Amino acid sequence: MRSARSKFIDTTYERVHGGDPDVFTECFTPDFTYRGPESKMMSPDGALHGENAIRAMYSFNNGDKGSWGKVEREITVEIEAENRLFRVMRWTAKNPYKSYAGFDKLPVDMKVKTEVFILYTFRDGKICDEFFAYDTLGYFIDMAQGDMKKAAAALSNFAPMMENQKASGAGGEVQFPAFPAKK
Amino acid sequence: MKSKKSKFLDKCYDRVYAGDMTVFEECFTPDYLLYIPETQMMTDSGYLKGKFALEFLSTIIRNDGLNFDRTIETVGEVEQGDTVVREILYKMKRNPNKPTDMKDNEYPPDFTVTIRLLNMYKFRNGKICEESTFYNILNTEMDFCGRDLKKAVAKILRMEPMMKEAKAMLAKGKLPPMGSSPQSKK
Repeated sequence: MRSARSKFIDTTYERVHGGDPDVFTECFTPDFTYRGPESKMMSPDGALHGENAIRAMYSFNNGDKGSWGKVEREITVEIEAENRLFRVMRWTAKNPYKSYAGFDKLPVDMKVKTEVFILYTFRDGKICDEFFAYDTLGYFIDMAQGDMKKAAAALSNFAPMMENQKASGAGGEVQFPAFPAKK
Repeated sequence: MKSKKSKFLDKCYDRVYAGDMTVFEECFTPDYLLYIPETQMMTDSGYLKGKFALEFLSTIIRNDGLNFDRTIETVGEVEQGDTVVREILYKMKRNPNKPTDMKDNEYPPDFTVTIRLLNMYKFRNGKICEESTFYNILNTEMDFCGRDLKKAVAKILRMEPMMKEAKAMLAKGKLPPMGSSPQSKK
């Protein structure tokens, strides 16, 4: 039996991934902070803040959807106490169909599984903090099918993209485009 | 106010970090399972089991203490039933009096790396039966390389032979020598 907070997280992130422009004010505190492997590369303090963080999540999700035939999320552990909810999520991506994260070509039948630990903190019924932890290096090594040199080559290809993105933040937090307008 | 389980974890891991392996029989189940980024990289199964797993963890943590002034601070905790999750700041600050394994990097005197990680502990019959940790190795290596991804990648490649050696040793049930954890062989 899932808790009200667990269901709230599910519906909130469905709306984020769907680009719902109202989700930020309705479900997140104005000072919402996102800390994850990507934000550490995109912000001087390692975090993305406010509505920009939500736009970033939308952008990351679209990037995954635009490169993999199928992406699945399965919650394998969930615990909750007071103002915090912790999840272990198994993220599975299958059938890549274009270059991805510095890899020119991945086998079309590839399936990659990554475990993710996520800690959500709530204030006044809204999400005020998200810490998203997974092993980026392990993910690249999995995509390189265990070949560390291939993983390193992909990461090296990835480096200029990251540098360009970081430079677009002009010393501050990288800014992500607004959600598409409601139809 | 800390819970009973939280205080138990503090006491157990103080002993683990000090290298007191008598803690295993007292505080861990015989089939204790350790699942951390290092076991994922250094074993085929992705995890280690039993007292050997705890010895491996203790070695890694003590190893960091040989090279840096290391602090481990719990900044958040969630507990439900037999599971405790901790958000931890693992800080390594350079100490010029601890020059071990610092041969190929010249860090400034005040060099500090802070790793934010999530630890999940599972209990059975009052003892710890499983520990999973997630942190981002790539970002940590970037911190060690002034946030330069290319330098971090080059360093990871330099670490590859050591990782293979450690993997072969673990497969034989032997601990890698002190000074060979990912955070020390720079």
